[in-house]
Amino acid sequence: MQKYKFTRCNCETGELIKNGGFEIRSREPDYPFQYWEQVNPNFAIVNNSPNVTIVAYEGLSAARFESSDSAEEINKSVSLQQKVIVTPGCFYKLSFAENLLFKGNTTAAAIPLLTARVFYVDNFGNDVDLIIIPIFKFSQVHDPNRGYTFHEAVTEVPVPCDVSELIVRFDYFENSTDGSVWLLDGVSLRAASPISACCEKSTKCIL
Amino acid sequence: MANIIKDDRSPRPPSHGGGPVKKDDDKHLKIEIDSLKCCPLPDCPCETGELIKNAGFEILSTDDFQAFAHWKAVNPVSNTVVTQAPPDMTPVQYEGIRAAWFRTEASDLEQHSISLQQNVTVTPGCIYQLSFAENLLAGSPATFPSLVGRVYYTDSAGNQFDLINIPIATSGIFQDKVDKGFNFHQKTADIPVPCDVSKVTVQFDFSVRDTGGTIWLLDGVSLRAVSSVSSCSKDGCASSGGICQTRNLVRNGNFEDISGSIGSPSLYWRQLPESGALAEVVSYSTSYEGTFSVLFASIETESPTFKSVSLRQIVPVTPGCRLEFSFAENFRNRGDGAGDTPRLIGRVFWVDDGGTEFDLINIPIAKIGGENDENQGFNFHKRIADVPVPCNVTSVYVQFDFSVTDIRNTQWILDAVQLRPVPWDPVCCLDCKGVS
Repeated sequence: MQKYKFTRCNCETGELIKNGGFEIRSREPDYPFQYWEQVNPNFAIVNNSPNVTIVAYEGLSAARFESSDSAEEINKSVSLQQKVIVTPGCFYKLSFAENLLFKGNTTAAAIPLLTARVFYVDNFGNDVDLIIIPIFKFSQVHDPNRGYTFHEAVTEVPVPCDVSELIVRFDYFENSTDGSVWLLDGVSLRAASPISACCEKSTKCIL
Repeated sequence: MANIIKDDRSPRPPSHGGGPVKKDDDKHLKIEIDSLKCCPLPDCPCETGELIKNAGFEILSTDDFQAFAHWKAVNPVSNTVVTQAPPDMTPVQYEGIRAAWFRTEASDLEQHSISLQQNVTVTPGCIYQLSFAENLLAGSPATFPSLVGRVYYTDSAGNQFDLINIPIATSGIFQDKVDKGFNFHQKTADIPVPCDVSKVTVQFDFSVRDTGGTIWLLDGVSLRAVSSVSSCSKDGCASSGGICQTRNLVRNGNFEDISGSIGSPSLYWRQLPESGALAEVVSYSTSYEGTFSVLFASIETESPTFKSVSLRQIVPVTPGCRLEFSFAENFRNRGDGAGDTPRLIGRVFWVDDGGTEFDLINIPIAKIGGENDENQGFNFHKRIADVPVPCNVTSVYVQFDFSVTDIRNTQWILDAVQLRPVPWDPVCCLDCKGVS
């Protein structure tokens, strides 16, 4: 018989992101992939078509941010997010892989930007960032179609003791005529500490 | 004697006037165990934050002789510099808007080198993890550029001791390494910082023999503690021997020791089946780190045929620990007639007495995207098991399963395999009495 011990105030030990590999598509409006909500689309979308999401980091599918072509240089943006229940007082680690498949253009050069964020909303409705990773792609020669790149970041502070929900969001933006295509895959959020700092009695117990 | 009871005093954060804390009392259990020793959190925890300053090279230096704040370029040889992107080139970076550019300027054919370093104050007895991203942007064959990421301490006699060493060379086919985008690297020290050491140096050593024009980018440097408590503490809690150890459990995970025998392309690794398969695993020289890797390759047949081969290592583990698995792979060539069939699956599993396999980690990689996912350089993968090693399991299998249906010449490179326990307490009570 297996024997286990239990410690109070444990942070989560498993994966917190659901469908982080974008393997499960959704037909629900504004949810291109199950558990992932597309927000604020503006001349850009998160495409879930099986025909165009097959360049995957892991598994068979990825999320595809793409902006439409336009005659004028205009701002194009879209976000993809998932809300996650967390344990107050724990640190968290975000990781993901991205691949700028095609870089758009303007009369000069489009600068597509993908920003990965982990934040919570405070009691006043403000977004408070715990992790923010901005990824700029300036170079038409060296940046597009170079395969996937892995990213990882850990919160510098634990989740506040009165917060139990985080939002993991990827914001895509560019000002362009010809639109870019940016792939996202392998999103993960896991606790990076074993015990919450918010426990009434933070103790370490040894048998 | 132990009693598991429902805890109606479930621990929860202090109330903040009805904030959005979700109560989930039902999920909490309290366990009462006689002679349980509970200690306050130790006085000497390891750091929880980032230790590298200006890790993304976003802040320029006010020193005319240095490019980046908090970083020092040392020992330049033969027109070798570390700068931000030069004015005549479009910036390329991993994150943010800047990276460190190691560059050689025009010269006769000669050896170039330079190092970039930062001194970091650390906690003795803690174990640290180095991460960074690099991109060999430009260069020429037969110049043998290399970049080595190191974390070392210096003793009182001036000797340097490496805690972490990540060598990146350009052996093999040069074009498979240059201008392939950023590669992420991460390695954890096998041992803690000695108890009489409180400062380490994070250093990147660049060298190349050329006439100028080599460019290697560095960005996203990170040094973090992965242990929560110093092993140097005299606190009984801190020196608990129950914490899962973080050293790499995979032997020859970089495939640098190529002295394998028949059926073993690299030391400690076993090809399955050893012979007779229509695919093989061989030692290879285009590497992610170090000099060697292994190559999964299909063997030629007259018509498209299903081919598969596996590479396996059996690894002793501590029951109750959760495992972190990482590796780098490069789908080098989609063979004739391969279509969308190439697959590589990285697995960590255990086997019960009946021979049934139970996956702890499973990372499937499929190449169905045509030319956009072929020969694009290495991809780094990392996954932590959601469940710990079962309490009755003392060894696991690390295995890579390659398969394809083709006529010939599908190639997939594998390197930098690591399997490390997460440095938290094991969940198994190895000597509990009365707990079930």
